Amino acid sequence: MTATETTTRLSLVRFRAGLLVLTGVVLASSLWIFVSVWTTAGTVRDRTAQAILEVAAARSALVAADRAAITSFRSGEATLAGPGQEYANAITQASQSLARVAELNQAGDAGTSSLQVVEGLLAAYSGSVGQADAHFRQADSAVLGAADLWYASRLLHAPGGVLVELESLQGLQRQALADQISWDGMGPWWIGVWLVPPVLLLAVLGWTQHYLRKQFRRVLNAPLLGATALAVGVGFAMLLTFFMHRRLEDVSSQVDVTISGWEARISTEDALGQRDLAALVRQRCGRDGGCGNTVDTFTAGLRQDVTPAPDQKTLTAEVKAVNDAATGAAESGGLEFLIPAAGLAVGLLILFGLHARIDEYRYQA
Amino acid sequence: MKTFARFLAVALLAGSLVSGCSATGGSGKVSVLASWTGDEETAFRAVLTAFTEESGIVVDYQGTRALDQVLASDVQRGTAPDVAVLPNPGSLATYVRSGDLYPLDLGAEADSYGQQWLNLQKVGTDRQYAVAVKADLKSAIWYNTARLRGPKPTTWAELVALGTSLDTPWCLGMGAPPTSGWPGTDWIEDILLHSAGTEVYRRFSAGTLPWTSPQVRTAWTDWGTLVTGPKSVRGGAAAALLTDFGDSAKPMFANPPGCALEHQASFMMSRYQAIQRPDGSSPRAGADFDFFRFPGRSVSEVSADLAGMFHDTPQARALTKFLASPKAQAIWPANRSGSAFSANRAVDTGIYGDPVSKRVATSLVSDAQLCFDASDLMPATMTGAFYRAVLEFLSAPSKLDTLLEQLEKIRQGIPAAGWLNIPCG
Repeated sequence: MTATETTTRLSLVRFRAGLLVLTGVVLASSLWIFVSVWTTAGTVRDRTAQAILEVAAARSALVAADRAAITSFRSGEATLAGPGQEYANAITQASQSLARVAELNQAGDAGTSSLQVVEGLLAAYSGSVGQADAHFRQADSAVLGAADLWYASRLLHAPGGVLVELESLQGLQRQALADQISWDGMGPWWIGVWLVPPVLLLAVLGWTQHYLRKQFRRVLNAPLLGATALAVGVGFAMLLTFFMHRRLEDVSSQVDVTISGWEARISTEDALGQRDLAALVRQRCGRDGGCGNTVDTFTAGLRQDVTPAPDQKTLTAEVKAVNDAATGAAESGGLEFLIPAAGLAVGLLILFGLHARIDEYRYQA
Repeated sequence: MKTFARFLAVALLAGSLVSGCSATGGSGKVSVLASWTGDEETAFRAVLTAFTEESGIVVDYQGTRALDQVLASDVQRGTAPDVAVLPNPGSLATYVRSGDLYPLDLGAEADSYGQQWLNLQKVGTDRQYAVAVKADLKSAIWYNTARLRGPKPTTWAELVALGTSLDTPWCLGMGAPPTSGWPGTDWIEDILLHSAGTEVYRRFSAGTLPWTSPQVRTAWTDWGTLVTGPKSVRGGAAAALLTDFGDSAKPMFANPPGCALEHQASFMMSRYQAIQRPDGSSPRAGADFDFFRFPGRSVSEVSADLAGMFHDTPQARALTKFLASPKAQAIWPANRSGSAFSANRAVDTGIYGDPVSKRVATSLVSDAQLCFDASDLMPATMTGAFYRAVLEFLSAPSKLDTLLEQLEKIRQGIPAAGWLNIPCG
């Protein structure tokens, strides 16, 4: 065997080894990135987005329950029906939402602690509403009934109360979502890094074709051409993964839009309920000295402007939009199978494409 | 991105193993649960920071308004904090009985506490189970110095006469959801203590004195005489029920004043000092407000926040020992924005910023006779019923006998082992 032949064989073996190593790197990196983004998309769809929406739903239900109870006591309906069916329904909805939040919680120990506080305060809230009910049924205890309803409402609204705690819990879940989608690995610099292996693989495949054409005077090596096409496909899959991650940011934006709708509804319902509470309490106070300075400060701070809130249909449509966006973001298009299949096919085509040429030197080593 | 985070975590762990060091210096962690949030949390965290600086042990603090519920849930799930600070010895005693709380080894630090405080810290046993993180004087009647000059009442009759001489004398606020009514229980306990004496009071707090006894009934009616009469409280019972305890003294500093006197614990000083007057200034201790001792016998009702150990770890032991030390006990009281007091005799009263605080602190460590807040010592069921009864009584004083009978039924239903017998006097 001549020195030239030995060098050619060595070069072919090196090309094969280099291409196989690069293929392995491309397969591993593209699959890892895809699985990471896909898993996150699944978590966002099934847990984080749902947890945020459930906290908002619980807040809304509690504000509605409070207002329903106040309305019932104010109208006199309470003497027969207690805080009323609307109150009972809303409290049940809130409990169900909180149970879901406990199940879906993405905020770790801080979220669990927050839920414990909420559950503790809610038990006290229900107890106070029950006390108010008992006293409103007695003609001579209406003042204490109003006070109990006031205590209940304070448990919801005061600093450190249920609504503030839930707002904080919602913030924790929202932060968890932000953390999940703001992966440094999807930053512009890292995207450049992830694209290096497929670009390098394509470059070495091209170089190998060029080498084969020069050494063996063949126009094109068909298996290597197929490997090149599939490597382009794997690179494209990687680009799709980046777009998949971008769609998670759309989910995040849609969550914010939906939450702002819930906030408007909570704010309006809350303002109306607290106005009703002030009116109810004032009915029970004496003329001399009024209701005391806590109620005076509360009344002075009541919002006078109440803007119309989005109706349930609009909110439901927005929740559906979040779910659709989250489902869309988690749609893999079968990439979890296509990427490894394409990667393996690239490897096999490289082996096949170079095997015949290397084989020609088998007995000349 | 869990996968990426795991990768980074493994890399960081490997890095730290290679370098042979860790961020905490290897001294470990201790978790603490208490009720303090906001400014109080900031003040308590200063104490915990001093502990970390001294020991290298990192403290994981959680403050919650629903302390009892969170602690009960944590204990039930086997995830109790290492140390919890509770405002009621009654709850602490429950955990001692259930075996969830470990005795402390305070060593020489225990010698800095008077016998009454050591009794409280033993929670009805013969071993130290708790440390009083901060203490309060409850037998105090606060007044606006500009409105109330001259000698202060030293007998119950003089106190009644003082109230009668003033228009709407009493600042009263029962609101404190979910424990509304407690300011009224302090009133009744103080009247009982000062009128019937320490032994009757001990029996009352230990559950061996019937609620229907003449002494207890008199305490309720005496309180009713003061606060349920016409013009006793601005706005009457409705305003008293609807006003938060923290807001009740605001009219004392208004112009014209809406009330003149308030029976409250020493921790209210920080709330008085936070009130904004129309001219933008805030009342100052000594110059604008002061207190006189509850008239009658020379004995004081006090309360405390008690730290107990739920996990017997070296870190938890180190923390409880530190909390009992004069150094730790001086940190919070030295904070001028709060009104915390120490029961530790080794704490120099010079750290208190005004003469009123110094008098409170001196009472806590030097008074010959101290008795603990009875409602804090009672089982939770009794305490809750006591709070409710106060609200019911204010709403309808004529129902007193029915209320006392209901309270008595509850007392009888609680087994003797459920009560704490802490010496009084």
